[in-house]
Amino acid sequence: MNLPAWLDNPSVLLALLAGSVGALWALSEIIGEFRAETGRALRTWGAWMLIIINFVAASVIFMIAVSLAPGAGTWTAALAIGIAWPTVFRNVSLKLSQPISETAETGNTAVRLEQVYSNIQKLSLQLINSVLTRQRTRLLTRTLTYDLGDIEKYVRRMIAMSPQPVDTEYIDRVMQRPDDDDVKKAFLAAFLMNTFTRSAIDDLLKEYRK
Amino acid sequence: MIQSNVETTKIAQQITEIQRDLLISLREKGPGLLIEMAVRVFKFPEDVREPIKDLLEKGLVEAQSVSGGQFGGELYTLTPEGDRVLQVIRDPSFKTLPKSTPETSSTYQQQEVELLNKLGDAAREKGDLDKAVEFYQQALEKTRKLSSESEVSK
Repeated sequence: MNLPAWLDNPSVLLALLAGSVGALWALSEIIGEFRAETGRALRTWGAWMLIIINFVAASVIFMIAVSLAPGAGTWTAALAIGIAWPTVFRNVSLKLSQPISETAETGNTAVRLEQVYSNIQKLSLQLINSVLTRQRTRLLTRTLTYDLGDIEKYVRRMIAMSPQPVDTEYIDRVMQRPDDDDVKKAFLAAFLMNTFTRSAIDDLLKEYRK
Repeated sequence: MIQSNVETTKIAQQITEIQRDLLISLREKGPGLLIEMAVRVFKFPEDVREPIKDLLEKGLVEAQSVSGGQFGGELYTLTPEGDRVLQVIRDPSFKTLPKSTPETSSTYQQQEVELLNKLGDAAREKGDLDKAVEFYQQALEKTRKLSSESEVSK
């Protein structure tokens, strides 16, 4: 089998290895941040943006390291750079211009890469959050078209079947509120989604489909 | 760094029980809208609005504008500082959650009522009934005030 010419270059393969480890870092960040909705979070643009940036950054840092020290072109170095690149990256400052005076603080003329990475990370998480929130509110809105009695019955059944002890007192308090039915439905749906999973809402919508 | 740890512990000591539950829910279940934050701790939006506002002011939580429609336009997320405070709270060596200010103040008021009653008893034993009545009336007023405050906080 003929491999593309660039794949014959061991440095490129090692850069891909470093990049893959970097991508795993991003993956672990997303899992840590969205542990209840990891699968859905990974299906968003924001998640892929963070993973790709981490992949590219680790690969580029490895390539720079190899060009500066040819001896670094080993798989152990690739792994080490893949693992340690966030630490290196976050402690490097880019000097943009000469300070106006010698006493001027370097903070004014340099951009800390840590800040750059932090902004990218924040943007990615915001993008993921926006998508997931839109999905959840869409589900809540759909639930409002169902009968309050059906929703209450379903929530109580879920609580009864739950292996975790969940107090039904909260449901009683929701039902006793002087709010209109739509507000009660919103509370019950939000409770269902947050106490169990989003799949519980999906099942409710399927079971009582109109 | 030590300074920052001390400050984190100080903030952790100011966190009320409901705020602790809200921070835990953000860590465990991820960011949430106001209605989601409320149901996660078995409360209603009017119960969590103020505690969240305080967490926002302390920088432990931040609000992101989202298109949540009728369910609210702000999504609350845990900040790195909030995460650090939560770690302190969850540390087994950090056992004592401080009582919230209203409870502390109600304890002082109860002590005051008891003291007024004792003063009334002492005045009665001395035969000064007018003074005793005065102390008992003051104790009664304090008790009424205390019970009305506890009704409001419920």
